[in-house]
Amino acid sequence: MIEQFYKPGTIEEALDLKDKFKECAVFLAGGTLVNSKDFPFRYENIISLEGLKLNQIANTQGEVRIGALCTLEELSESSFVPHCLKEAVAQVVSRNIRNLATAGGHIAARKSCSDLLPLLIALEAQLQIHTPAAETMLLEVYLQTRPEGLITEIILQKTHLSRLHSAGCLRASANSRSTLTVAASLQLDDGVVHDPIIVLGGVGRKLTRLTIVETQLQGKPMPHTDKLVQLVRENVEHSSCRPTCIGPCIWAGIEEDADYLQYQAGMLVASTLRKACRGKGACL
Amino acid sequence: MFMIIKVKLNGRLREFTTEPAERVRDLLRRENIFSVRNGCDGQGSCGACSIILDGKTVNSCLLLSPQVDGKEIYTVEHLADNQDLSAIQTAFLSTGVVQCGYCTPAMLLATKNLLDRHANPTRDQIKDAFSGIFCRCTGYEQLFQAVGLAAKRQKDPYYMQKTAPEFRNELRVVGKSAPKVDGPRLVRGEKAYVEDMVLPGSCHLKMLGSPHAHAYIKSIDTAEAESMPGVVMVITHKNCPDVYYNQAGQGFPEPSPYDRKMFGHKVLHVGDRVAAVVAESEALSGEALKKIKVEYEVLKPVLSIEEAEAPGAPVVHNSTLEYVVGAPADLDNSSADPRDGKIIYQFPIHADPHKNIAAAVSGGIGDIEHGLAEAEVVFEGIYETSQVQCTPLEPHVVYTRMDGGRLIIHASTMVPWHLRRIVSGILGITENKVRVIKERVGGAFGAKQDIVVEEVAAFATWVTGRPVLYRLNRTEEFIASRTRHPMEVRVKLGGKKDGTLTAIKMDLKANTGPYGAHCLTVPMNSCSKSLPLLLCDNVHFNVTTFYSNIPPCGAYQGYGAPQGSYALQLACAEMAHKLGMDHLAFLEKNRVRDGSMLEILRCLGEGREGIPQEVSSCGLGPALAQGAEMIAWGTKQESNDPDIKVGKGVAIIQQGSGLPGLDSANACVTLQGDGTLMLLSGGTDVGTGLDTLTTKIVSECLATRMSDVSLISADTDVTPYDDGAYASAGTFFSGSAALNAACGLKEKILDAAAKMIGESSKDLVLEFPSTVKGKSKSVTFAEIARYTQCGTGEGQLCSTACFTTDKAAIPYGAHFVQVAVNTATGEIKIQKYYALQDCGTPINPELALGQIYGGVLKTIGHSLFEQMILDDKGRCLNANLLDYRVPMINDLPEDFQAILVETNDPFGPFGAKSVGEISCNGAAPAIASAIHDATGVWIRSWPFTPEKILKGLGKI
Ligand SMILES: Cc1cc2nc3c(=O)[nH]c(=O)nc-3n(C[C@H](O)[C@H](O)[C@H](O)COP(=O)(O)OP(=O)(O)OC[C@H]3O[C@@H](n4cnc5c(N)ncnc54)[C@H](O)[C@@H]3O)c2cc1C
Ligand code: FES
Ligand code: FES
Repeated sequence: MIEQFYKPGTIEEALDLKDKFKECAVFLAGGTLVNSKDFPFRYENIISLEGLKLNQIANTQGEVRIGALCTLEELSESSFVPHCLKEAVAQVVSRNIRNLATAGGHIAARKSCSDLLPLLIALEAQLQIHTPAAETMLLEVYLQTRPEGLITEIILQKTHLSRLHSAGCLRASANSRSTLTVAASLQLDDGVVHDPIIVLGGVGRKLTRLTIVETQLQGKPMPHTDKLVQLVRENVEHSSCRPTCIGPCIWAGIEEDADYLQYQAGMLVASTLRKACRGKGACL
Repeated sequence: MFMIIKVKLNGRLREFTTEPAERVRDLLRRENIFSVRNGCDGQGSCGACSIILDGKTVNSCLLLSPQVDGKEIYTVEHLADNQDLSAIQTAFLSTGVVQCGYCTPAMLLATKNLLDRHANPTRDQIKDAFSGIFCRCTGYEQLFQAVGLAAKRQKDPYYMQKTAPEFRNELRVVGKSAPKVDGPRLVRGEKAYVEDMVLPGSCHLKMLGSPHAHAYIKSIDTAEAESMPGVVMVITHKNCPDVYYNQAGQGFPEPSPYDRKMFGHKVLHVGDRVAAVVAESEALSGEALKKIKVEYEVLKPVLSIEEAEAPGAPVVHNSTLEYVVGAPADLDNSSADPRDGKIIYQFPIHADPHKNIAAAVSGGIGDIEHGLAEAEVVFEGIYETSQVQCTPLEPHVVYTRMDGGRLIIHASTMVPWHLRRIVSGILGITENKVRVIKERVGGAFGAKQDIVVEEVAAFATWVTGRPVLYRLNRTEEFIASRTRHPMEVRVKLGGKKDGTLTAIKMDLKANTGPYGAHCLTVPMNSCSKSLPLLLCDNVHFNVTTFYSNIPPCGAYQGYGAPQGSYALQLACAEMAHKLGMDHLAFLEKNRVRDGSMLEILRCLGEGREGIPQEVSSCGLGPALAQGAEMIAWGTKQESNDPDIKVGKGVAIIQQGSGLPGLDSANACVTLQGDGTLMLLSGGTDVGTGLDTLTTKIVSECLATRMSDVSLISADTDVTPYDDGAYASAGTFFSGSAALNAACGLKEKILDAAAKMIGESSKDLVLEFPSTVKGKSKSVTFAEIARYTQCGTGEGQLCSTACFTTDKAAIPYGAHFVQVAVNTATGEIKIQKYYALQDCGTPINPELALGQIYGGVLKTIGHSLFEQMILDDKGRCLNANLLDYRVPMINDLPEDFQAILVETNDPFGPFGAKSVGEISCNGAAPAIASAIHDATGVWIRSWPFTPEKILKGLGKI
């Protein structure tokens, strides 16, 4: 049962409160998860992040810095946000949710079926995070190590944005959670693939980097779709496709069987890579 | 901890005392802002609780009240300027986009916000604005028109536009668009639904649901819960009435077996009733539920038809069987377990519960074997349908209270009188002690034809004298209300090479779940609303319904017809293919037409002999012709993408208009002192526009302005009897009762006028508005009322009438679809959907269109992605609006058109037939045949998932 609602004005105050109440307190951003009936935890103390004024989007020479409290709708409206990220945001179909949900909350929720996280990983996004010391860490590392802390900014390096990117998802209906989400980023020189990053979400509990597929693509022309599908199917572990539970942790895969998900993962990766290759170039 | 927040609410600065845990939705409702509704209990998936917060639409259930401190909130209550509705509100009413109205406040706010951002929004911008708002009724399509009209009316308040086609030029209001009579109340977000009637200090009832699909209750200890301060009552099988009944709201004596008590010793599905707590607050009743200790003897559940009919299957109802009439000579109760209680049959329905058979029936015409022997080509296929939830946005809810020693039930129901009869039977009191007031219903779709919550709350109130609110949460709505029966239908067709059908055989097995509500009639309807579409001399059907431990099945819009239609119509497509014949030509050859005699209906009565019918009007011919032209039937569409294959499909459909010989409806019209009229209609408007329809009929018949007819409907104390809003009876039965009452009043008015003028009533005619015109002079209704009501008059003019009939006014339709199937991913896109419906004279054309769009989209849902998923223990894994996948605005076909094909039925009021259910019957067969046309794959089970397509294509 919630007893206290705090609205700190500074990052330090927010961290102090979290330190004081520890697991009896939760950071609140948009609240689409924390306040939802599906949220599995109950906290006595709410630390609202609204007073931290972390809702700016800055465009500097080398990077785009997105305040953690920017809503998903603000991302889609900003002229500084790369259009591939806007496309991924648009996959969050409900405007009412986009109006509340924040970028920081979305990342901290770490959903395997997130429509944004695969792309943010593929863009090699970094996070400014206070644990309580301020540090910058790769989003991918954050998702693997799951540090406690307050995310204040998402940083996109423009050098990465100049690569080819694309994201895609598979959903059964407009409002359903994505069954699969995929993002890819690569460089293409004379038709030869360089430094590909392929991220798959929705299957299993975690977002997965398809590193074996990445290695096999490196330095070669993009293979034919059938070959790509085959490659991905072989490298998405069969077991990780099996739906394990339901509820907010695993959103997808209640209805589909493993072979189907593997096949679709292959198709989705292939189409996402092809779409990235067809792109005119930078995501910016 | 209490805190004070300041909010600018609808333009006024307000201070509220709140607690940090309080959701903004609850705070607003506490402050009498009724327009913020609740469809998902705070999951964030329905949008019914939308508000505009600092210029953005958000879900207020996802916000803690301190989050809005210092902010600005707008709700629908701010839209109207006193009595004057805003441009957006009138646009919604003009376009017929308000049905049950439960989602309407959210839709209105989304429109307001959209138009503030874009003066002339595009189709995509409109879709985006409504993307998070779930509407189960309307099918969304008319929203595009509503927004367009609102945009124009914001600039020019007097802007008028035709929003639907008009019919019957000779009539004044029938066949013309007119705002729904209950519309203003709904677009204002006023008190309208059961939840709005709850008085402070009322008790809350919560139900402990079974965690097991099949188990005996070994012991139950409620002492700790009962001892909690504020707990008023705990009900279990030990203290509930010892009365067997069926929850189906059907005419008495019902074909559905009396196979349950309020609480049983045995639980038969996950979520089945174990104990109810009535307490002084919602939180307390929830807390008390946790203190109830139950020990179960868990039994193996039966989850499918196959499991139910397997030899040695667990017996769902090992009950003692009793018959009111017609007990079979070999009735054997020796193996019954007393813990399973009894089943009482009003008359035989060929059940054998000890073999899990809930009901069975077979019949036919001609000689099926002869028909098959005569055939040059025989086709046989098996079609399966999955379990689908009705998902009304407002879940089942009831509020009961005592008043002067009588029980008052504020109900969200389709069957006020059946509800009263069933409840008074259970409580052992007479019907005059019970009053049922049907409030506005936030979506019903068949689920509210059953007494799912009412009797428990009524019992609690009757025993304790306390007012009680009982509302299912969304999970309970999924697992403990009503769903579409899963079915397995084997169809065998025999035909000549020229396409003439010589034999039709339908073997249908249905899964009714734990209780037998509608167990005979829904599966029979699968046959009676599909077989009579085809003219064939040799027809046979077998229906067997099985008990199981899945969530309860029951009535759902279409009432079995969607399943039967899917099987039979797709089998026709397959037969045409086998014959090498064009599908449409095959349908044309075999279809029913004007004047056809439907002998088959004799053996398709509801548990008794049916009435064969001659088709009194049939718009199938023009519907097929127009649809074929619209979709360019016979031309192949190609895509630039080699993976995308485009295909077209068609299905013909029918429904009924109530049940001839079974249903009845009544209405009463009285002349008021000033010449206006009061209509008391038993008809139960569940959002479909029935109140508008009866009002229009009276207004048309009596040459009176619609605004001069006021209506009270579906209140058992005030209005006369009506069977209820099921079996597509509203227009035909309740409409005809209103017409009969109006005609009766017309005669009385003319007679009175004759005396006043001194002319023969035969020489008098009604003249609009509200005037009787004679040869020598005219008198107004007001003058007539004064004449009849004065001290020397004959009294207030009033006419009560009934409508019963042995005639059927059958609505027909043809649905055409164009799909694009991605053969690499199995994804299906519906590019075109044209639903051509013959509902006779469409009395409310814009509302009829809304019924069609809504019916089609619901069934596109179950055709493509909706289905309940159960695990091997009978637990539903997707009992919420996110995982269950209900259609949203972004699921609409790219080109979606509902077309009203006019016929004038001789038996319907002003030529009208039903429109509410029929449009649910076309989507599955039409889409499936289009998929085959595109890919060569026949999909014989719904939903047609990409997975099934890929399997059909051999890709996985
Ligand atoms: C109905 C519905 C539909 C949805 N549909 C989609 C969809 O289609 N696609 C999709 O990808 N997602 C979808 N989502 C998920 C949604 O995007 C996330 O719930 C949302 O982004 C979380 O952000 P928030 O600001 O609301 O987080 P909150 O609910 O406020 O917080 C979420 C978690 O993050 C923590 N947190 C918040 N901010 C920070 C911070 N700055 N630093 C550290 N921790 C923090 C909180 O403590 C909490 O644990 C949906 C959610 C709902 C409710
Ligand atoms: S009740 Fe708020 S979104 Fe459903
Ligand atoms: S009108 Fe939208 S839910 Fe009923």
